[in-house]
Amino acid sequence: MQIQVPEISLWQVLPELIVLATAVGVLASDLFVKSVQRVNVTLTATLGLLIAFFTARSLEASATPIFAGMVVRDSLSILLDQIFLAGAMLVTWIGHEYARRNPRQFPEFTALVLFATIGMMVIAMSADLIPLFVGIELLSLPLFVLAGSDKDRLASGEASLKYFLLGAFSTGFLVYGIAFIFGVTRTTNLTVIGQSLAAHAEATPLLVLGFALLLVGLGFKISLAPFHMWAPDVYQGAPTPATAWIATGSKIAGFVALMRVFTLPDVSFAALSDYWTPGIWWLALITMIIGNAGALMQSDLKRMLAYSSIAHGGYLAMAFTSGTRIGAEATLFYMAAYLLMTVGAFGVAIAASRSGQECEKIADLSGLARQRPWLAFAMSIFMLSLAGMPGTAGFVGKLWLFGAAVQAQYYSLALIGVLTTLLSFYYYLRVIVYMYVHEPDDRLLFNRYSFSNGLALTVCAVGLVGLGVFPNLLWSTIRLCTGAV
Amino acid sequence: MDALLPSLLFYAFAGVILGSAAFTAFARDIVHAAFSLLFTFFGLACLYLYLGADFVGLSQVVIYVGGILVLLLFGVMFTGHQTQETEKRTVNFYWGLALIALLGAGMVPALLKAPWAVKSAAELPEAKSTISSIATLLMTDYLLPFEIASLLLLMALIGAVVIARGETKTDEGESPETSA
Repeated sequence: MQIQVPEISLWQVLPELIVLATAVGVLASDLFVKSVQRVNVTLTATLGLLIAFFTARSLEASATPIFAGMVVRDSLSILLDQIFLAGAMLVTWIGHEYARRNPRQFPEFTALVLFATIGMMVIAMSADLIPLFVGIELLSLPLFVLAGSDKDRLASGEASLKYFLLGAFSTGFLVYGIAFIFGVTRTTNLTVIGQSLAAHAEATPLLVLGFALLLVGLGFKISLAPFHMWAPDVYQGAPTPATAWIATGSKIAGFVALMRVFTLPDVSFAALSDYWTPGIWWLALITMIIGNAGALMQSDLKRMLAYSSIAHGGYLAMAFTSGTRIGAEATLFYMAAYLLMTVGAFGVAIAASRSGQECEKIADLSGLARQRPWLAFAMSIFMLSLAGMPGTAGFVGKLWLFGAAVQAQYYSLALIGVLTTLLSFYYYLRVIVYMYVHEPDDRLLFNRYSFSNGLALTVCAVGLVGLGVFPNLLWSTIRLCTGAV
Repeated sequence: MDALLPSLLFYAFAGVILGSAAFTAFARDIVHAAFSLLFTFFGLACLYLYLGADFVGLSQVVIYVGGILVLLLFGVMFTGHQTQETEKRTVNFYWGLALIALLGAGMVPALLKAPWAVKSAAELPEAKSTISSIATLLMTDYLLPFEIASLLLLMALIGAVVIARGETKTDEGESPETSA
């Protein structure tokens, strides 16, 4: 039998291969080098991620699927690769600081972050449900391990188990949904699914059930209410750098999967938008309310950030519901902004430790401005950006998100969004009040933080202000991706 | 009469699967539940074979019965099996019931109304092993997902070591031998 081997275009997946090589290299260094120092691990990872970043930048975008239609190297996937790689780099840097405080298996930690990054990049370039699914698994599995990697704390194990069980449960929904969709359309290729639905767009109950299950499965990953229950416990229990990557990378990748399946590249369920749009509409509404209401009541910094992250998932879902190009653009922009501010906030939580004790309660930040003015200033930028203060990327991003919802005539959704945003100022500003107004406990000094963490925080803060003042730096690239130019 | 035997077989398999699955769900003792799961897995394997999916059926036996179930039983045994501790309690019974009723109400009509492409026996392709065509597909069209899946396995291996390894390593420059 003659077997026709499809073209193997390794050049197109070079960034993924470089990240893989870095991950394996970081692990192998433990075997072959006498003493592996944390700084070497971080430098290796940074170097690998930088090379991958610039390789991704230099790739030629093309809408033609490669690897027998499995993946597509369009400009969207190239942009997302860069976002994920930059995020992985920031997480590695704040993880470096975390490992200094809490001695642990740092090479493994970094390698798992890199593996999860590959999963995200695979999701970003999927043109078929099968690589999408494998990518989601490759993203989730390292995060389960990372959540439980702090074996000295019971909460970390609890977080890992909860995350794992609910993650496995949601995977069940996801596969079930994919199976139904395959049953109706007899293909897993997203483009072909889109074409066949557009050709005879009748929503058979099986198909509706299929994408409802798909939505539930992905809803768990991006912690949309009512599938958000795991998030606060996991965010609180997991080691903080792992939390940062769960809150940003995993959530962004989940939204990318939603985009790939439901709207982009102008395929798939667009023909059935009458059916899935109300679903996401309600999820967005509930998520915004529950996320913000939950955040109001927290005194624990990581739990507060968890609820805030749920709320931001709601804002993103709101723009996504609009299904328009401006909605997709706003979602992409906000993803980048969200990555910077959330990683930054968790980075401050790591840096603002006292005598090795990480900052847990919001009250632990009291007097940070007096002792570590730059930390407090950076945290203020992150909090103001999360709240959506003008001059930060958070404001510009939210403006576009609400704009997309209004343009699509989802007035009530946009109204709830604006109201909950106003509510959110309370709990974000409370952090700033603690840092600047409350008196520090002079018996306990804040620890010094390392160069890598300072660098990560500086990059986040400068990026947020930069994008807030010159949003076109990113916006023009995003418009290229969605084909607006 | 030709159709009687196949459909009898189907209902026999389905009965075994449903019955043992129900027993797994309702059994009070976790070891009983695990053993009952054995019949579910075997029943599923039979169903796959019955549908002509020989490779999937055999993998079902090798992976689920040979691997996962044995692991499950070992897990129960090594973690100290005492009847009181492993007895199950029912929590959130009514919420669960409501959720299942909701799912069922969505799923059953959807499955009943689905436009299945029914083929008569004459239209079916000649029965032959699916192994070679699966192998061909894995090495051609599905090459990339296949490779990513192997990456997933590598990662799972590393993750398992990270989770299972006992002591935490001290920070700078400790020799790797101590942590093996």
